[in-house]
Amino acid sequence: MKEKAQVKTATDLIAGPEEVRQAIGSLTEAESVKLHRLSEGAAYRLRRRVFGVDGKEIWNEVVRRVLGGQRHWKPQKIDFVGFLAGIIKSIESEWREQAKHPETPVLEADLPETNSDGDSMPNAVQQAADPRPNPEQQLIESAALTQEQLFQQIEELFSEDSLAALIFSEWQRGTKGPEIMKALDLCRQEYDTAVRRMDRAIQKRWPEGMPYVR
Amino acid sequence: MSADTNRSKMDLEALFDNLAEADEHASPEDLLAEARAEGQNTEQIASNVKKTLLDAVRSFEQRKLHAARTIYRTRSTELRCRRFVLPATAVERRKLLMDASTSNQRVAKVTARFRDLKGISDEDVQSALEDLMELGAFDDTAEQSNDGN
Repeated sequence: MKEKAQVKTATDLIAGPEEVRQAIGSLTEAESVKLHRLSEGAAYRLRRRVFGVDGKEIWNEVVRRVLGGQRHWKPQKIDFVGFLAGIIKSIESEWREQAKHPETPVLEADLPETNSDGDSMPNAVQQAADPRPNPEQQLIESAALTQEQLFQQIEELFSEDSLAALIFSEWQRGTKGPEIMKALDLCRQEYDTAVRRMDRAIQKRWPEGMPYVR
Repeated sequence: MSADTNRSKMDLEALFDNLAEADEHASPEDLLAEARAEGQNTEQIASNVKKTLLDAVRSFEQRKLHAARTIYRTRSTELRCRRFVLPATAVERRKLLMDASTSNQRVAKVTARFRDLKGISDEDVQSALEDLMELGAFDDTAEQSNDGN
């Protein structure tokens, strides 16, 4: 069978550092505001699990992935803002998962076998196998809200915004965005505007990040 | 209504996903208009975003440059270590330089500055050989020598 010739088309071209720098320089005010909102939103949501993360840290990771070759930008296939938005989404998702399952890189050899009194200490396996929360975790959990209590507090934020209250109530019933739009006869823009209003109200109420729930 | 039916089918992660979607779908112009309506200094925000991104690019490239310098220094150290491959005696070193200047064009170009190769001092022979080694003139010879060992 005759093989097809492999022709590298313009759409396959991967942008290098200079193109990336040019694209940054060409961002419009509106595009920059969108990117700001995406990075700050991701940082806000991540702060619940990743201590102190901010938009700048996310941007450093975005650039590291682009220039380090982990993500390739093909300008003919996707616009720069859409490309960066996709990376921010991946970072948020990955960091959220990592924070849920933190690694505990403790080498057995690094642990002392006995304490200062000469009593034998539990090894890493014995420690890892202990399912009981440590005193710090116990304290955090005792002070934490339940998810139901938190959702009740969020609902109260929308007491004077009937559309936001309705959307939140539907989300809790498991209804997805497109179904809500159809049921309430909302276009995408109207729905998204209401959701962003909800987002702003939540961030205003908990500026440092959503509280921990047990 | 029972307590069970009151329980939310949405967890916090799903709430976050729902909230994030609204920004992803939004047109930049809508977000700009909303930010302005809220009284945000959008020009300043845009300027900060660009600066942060360009700083991140610069910082990444500096780290890359630093890594390249480290590799260069390692390579230079390796080259300097090769000095020890030089013959042990002045007579043998002179012979190496004379032989190389007739058989190796790169060596010949460097030794051309000496009017009379036979008349130069032992120190100059040593120094010329070290310079040539750092320039990689003997790399093939060294590799052959290493292979032979």
